[in-house]
Amino acid sequence: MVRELSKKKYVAVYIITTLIFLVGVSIGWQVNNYLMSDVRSGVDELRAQLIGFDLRNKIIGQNCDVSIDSILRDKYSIGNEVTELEERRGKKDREVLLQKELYQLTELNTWVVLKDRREKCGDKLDLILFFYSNEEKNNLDKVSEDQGYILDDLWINDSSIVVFSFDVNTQNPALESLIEIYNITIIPSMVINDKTHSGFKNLYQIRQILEQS
Amino acid sequence: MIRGYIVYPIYYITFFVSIFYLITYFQTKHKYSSKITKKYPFVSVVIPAYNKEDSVENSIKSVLSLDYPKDKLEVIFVDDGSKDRTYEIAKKLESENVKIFTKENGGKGSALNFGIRKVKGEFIVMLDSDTYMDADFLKKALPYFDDPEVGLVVPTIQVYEQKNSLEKMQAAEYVMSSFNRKVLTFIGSMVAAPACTIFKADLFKKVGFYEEDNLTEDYELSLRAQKHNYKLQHLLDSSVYTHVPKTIKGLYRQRLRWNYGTIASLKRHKELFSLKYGDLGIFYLPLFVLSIGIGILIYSLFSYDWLTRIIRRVHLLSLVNFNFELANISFWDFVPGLRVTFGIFTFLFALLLFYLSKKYTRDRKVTFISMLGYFSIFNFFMVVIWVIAIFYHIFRKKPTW
Repeated sequence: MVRELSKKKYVAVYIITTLIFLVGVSIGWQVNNYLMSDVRSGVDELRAQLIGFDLRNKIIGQNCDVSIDSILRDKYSIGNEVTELEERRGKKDREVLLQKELYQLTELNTWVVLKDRREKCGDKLDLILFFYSNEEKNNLDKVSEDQGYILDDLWINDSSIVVFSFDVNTQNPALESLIEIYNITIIPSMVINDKTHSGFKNLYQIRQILEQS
Repeated sequence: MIRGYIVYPIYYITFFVSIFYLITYFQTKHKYSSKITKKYPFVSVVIPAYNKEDSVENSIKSVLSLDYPKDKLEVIFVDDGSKDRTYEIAKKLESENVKIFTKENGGKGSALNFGIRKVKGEFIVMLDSDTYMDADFLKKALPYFDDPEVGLVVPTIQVYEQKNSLEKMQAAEYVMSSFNRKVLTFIGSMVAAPACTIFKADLFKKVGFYEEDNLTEDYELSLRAQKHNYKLQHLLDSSVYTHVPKTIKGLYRQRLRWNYGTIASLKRHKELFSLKYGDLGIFYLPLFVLSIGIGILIYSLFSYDWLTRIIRRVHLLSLVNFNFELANISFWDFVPGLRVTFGIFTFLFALLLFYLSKKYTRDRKVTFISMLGYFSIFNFFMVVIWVIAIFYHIFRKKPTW
């Protein structure tokens, strides 16, 4: 038998495989880009809502009858999408970091609005600032995830609890000043109704803190 | 990140091979039906048996019921020193064209060689004593030998009984392997000579007999046939039916022998990994070895991933007193990421191969679920056995029967 080498076929297969591979890669990128633009527009919409809220308060004063439900709903939904983006594109991706920074600033803005409402309208809200880190060093990411999971459980079961999550490694003057004001030195830490609680707290401990605050 | 660097090249290789197979299939699909012989040369069927009292009678009778002139057919039954009633039962069936022999136990290779020395046929079928043939097997296999370069023809092997899940997954494996072998014949790269292979008798004069101490003597012989530049053919549209292990322990022992023997045979014939042997030397054989490595790598990664995810998830749930409301399913959970997209492509290729395998082998029993079981659980088990077989080689141990 004369031994043959299917050279032409190998070249053809190489071209087809590479094309399919590129199609796969571009589909994946498209999906990620779509998710990214979803987050971008979500942050923009939330920001627009907050600006509207703020301006109205300045023009006609605080109106306690206006619901804040849609703001909270949008906040959590964008938060989930940011987490999804981190999963897909990596936690160190520049664009992901930028969107996350913008989202966190919007969260901060929301916190200011809700804090103001709580004071002026007497809204029964428990506001929790959660400071975490994605750094793998000393298992900070794992402990942070543990703490975040417990906080998720809390707000899912109690709509009066609102959690704002901040990555301590985000370099932004507003976030840095928040860390300074509340003296955040340990990861994870929480500021529950303006009081700092450092280190991991289990479900029972947080419930106790909430009852006492 | 490192995982990404490993997974994407593996996907690329998988795509490359799948597309190569598909192109080869589309180029050759008009050649998948067999012709019916017009000549009736003398055929000898060698049946080696060891402790097979339950199947010996059916096996001999299946040969005699072949759609082939009886005066052109002989059975050489070799009892390999059985401790049960195999020889007695076979002896009762002895006739002019059924010859029964017994010898001291020496292994399957030695029994086959014993039988080969007794045959008078121009063609020899090596039939396992628990294997039965379709009646048209010889009529469809013999025309392949019209090409003087063909040295052996391998039939499609199907599972005789598919009662439990293990047998069903093996059935899916056998059907897909048969289709793969057929495709490989068109690039001169089929390497196998399993149950019920039909040989040109003079092949043994040129390449030698079976290696008696080899655990996969049939596989080794097919490598030797390739080395002597014989064409190895595959008969897709006529099947033989064999019993497969019913228990995990039985399957483990069988596959450990097979995998160990395969590695030993490939080591023995490493010179086949060369450009001199065309597609076989630089595509199929390297790919076969690579696929074992890839299998080990990918199943290890997935297992590690699954295990760590499950452990992490249970840990997280324990923090919230197992409140399952936190499943947190969002729209994006259903949108595939890059790796999932490639996973879907790979799965579609597997599905197509399964469909084509069923179509051409005319199988009616193998189900979609069996195929899924084969690609997931069964292959995982096989990967584990490959690792064990490699360790056997490293520590110079030899599996026993």
